[in-house]
Amino acid sequence: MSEYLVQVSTVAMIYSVLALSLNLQYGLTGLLNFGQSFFFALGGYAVGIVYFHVWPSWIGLVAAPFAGALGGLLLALPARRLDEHYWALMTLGVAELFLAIVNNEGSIAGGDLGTYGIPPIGSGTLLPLMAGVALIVFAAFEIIRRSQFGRVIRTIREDPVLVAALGRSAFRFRAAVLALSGAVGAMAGVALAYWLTLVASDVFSLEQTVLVWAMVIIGGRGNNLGVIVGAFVVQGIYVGSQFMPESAPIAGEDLALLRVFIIGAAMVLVLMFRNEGLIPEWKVRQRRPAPSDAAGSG
Amino acid sequence: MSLAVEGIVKRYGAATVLDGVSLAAPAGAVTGLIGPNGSGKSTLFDVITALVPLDEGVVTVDGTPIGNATPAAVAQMGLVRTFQVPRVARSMTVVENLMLAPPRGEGESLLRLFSPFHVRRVRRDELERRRRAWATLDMLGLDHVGLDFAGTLSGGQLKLLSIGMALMMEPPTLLLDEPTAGVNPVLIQRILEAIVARRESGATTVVIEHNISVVSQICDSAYVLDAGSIIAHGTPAEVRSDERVISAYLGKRERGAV
Repeated sequence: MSEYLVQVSTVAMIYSVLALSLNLQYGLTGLLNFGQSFFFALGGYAVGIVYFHVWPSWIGLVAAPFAGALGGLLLALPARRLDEHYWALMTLGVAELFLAIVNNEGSIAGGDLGTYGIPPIGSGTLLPLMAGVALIVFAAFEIIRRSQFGRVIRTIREDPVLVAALGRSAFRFRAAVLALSGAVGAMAGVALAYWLTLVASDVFSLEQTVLVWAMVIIGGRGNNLGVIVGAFVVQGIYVGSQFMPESAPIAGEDLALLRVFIIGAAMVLVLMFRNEGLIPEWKVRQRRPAPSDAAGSG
Repeated sequence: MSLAVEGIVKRYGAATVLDGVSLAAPAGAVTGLIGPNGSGKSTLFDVITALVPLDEGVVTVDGTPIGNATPAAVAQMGLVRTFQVPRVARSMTVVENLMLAPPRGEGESLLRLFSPFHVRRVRRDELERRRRAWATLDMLGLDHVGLDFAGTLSGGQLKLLSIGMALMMEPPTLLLDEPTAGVNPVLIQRILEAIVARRESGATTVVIEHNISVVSQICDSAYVLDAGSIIAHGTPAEVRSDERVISAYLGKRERGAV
């Protein structure tokens, strides 16, 4: 049982990192990215492609965050021209397009069969590793949230016209957010590839986007701790449904649908009764500096 | 920094909102812009700050046309405005809104934010912003709500906050859209003092204002806009005794009523 808990926690930690990356975009910057699975897939396929071509595995690890960042910048380019809702639809299209390409072109990473047999990293290693990554990303995103950069992106979330009137280019900040978020999301994809020991288009499907959105909405958009809690809650629902009593008249595909139903219902309940999520966004207090601070110790 | 607009035309469909507006706001002066509701004052601000594209005419800063600069680029040139309906970030605290405003933040670049060589500069910049923000809160009488979300403020407080944000930017040219509307009289005097103080530093200020006694108190000259055209220009005293102004702005009334 405890081994099982470790496994569940490992997966939840991987998703925590993905949820943090979506939170930077949606929770803090207000970017409606419905193709978050794209970044997840970029990381996974960086590992898959390298393994498929029997290249040294470190190449995949190094390439993944860069691929994610480039993918983010790619998504940022049309943001200058598109209204935010059209941009949201475009992100959905880009994610599906990427999967269509890797699925149909067998020479990239095995096509629709995918790439199997990636050497596993045991949960004994992967759990502390991903907990460390999640902690670093959490700390970095909290620094960002409280910084001047964070103030600008939180203003973009509310009122891009105000941002322009204050002399800031919303495009530049959105691009930076997408690049960073893409890099972090890709790292989560790397971890998932090593955890499942396979890379295939089914793994990085639109369902992943839905799951990570549920984590951010349920946990608390804009709260970096909240979305980690959301990742554990959603993951808990996901695996908890496996412990249905034997006598329950539901199994197999029906059970899979039941999970989706419960997660969907949890999202609706949160939106209706606790709109800001389980842990609402934390206020950033900038208290009056003490006179000694003003004297300037540097 | 002086601001001039020449022959500005702005049409919305068949309606001509600005019909050949020209005015000059010299450096080191406070220029008033008055006119009845719907005369095009706020639209003129929108056009000057490139928020709305103009159909004809040219906006120049120190004699240089701003061309088709983006609103952000216009603000970076030092041309900053406030809005009639205040724009603030409601999900941030009041003090954070003020800290946000000043340009060229050290912590505005992700690279600098995480560079060990910039840690001290970022921290110093943040402290300086925080210190100035609290001084501005004291000046505007908002210190007791400094740590509240800006979304919880009243209309008058929002107006004060938005003016505070503009003042924190110390812009060479500042366009204020009805800065005193909804603000209590004591604080109006503080705002007016802050506007007049800008004159000494050679800054340019344009104020849209309905209160004629405020115009008389702070403006060096005033333009009167009616139905998209400038109908009078002069010192506040000249403007308030102009027959056309009285009939356009105040309706057909006795001169003494002004």
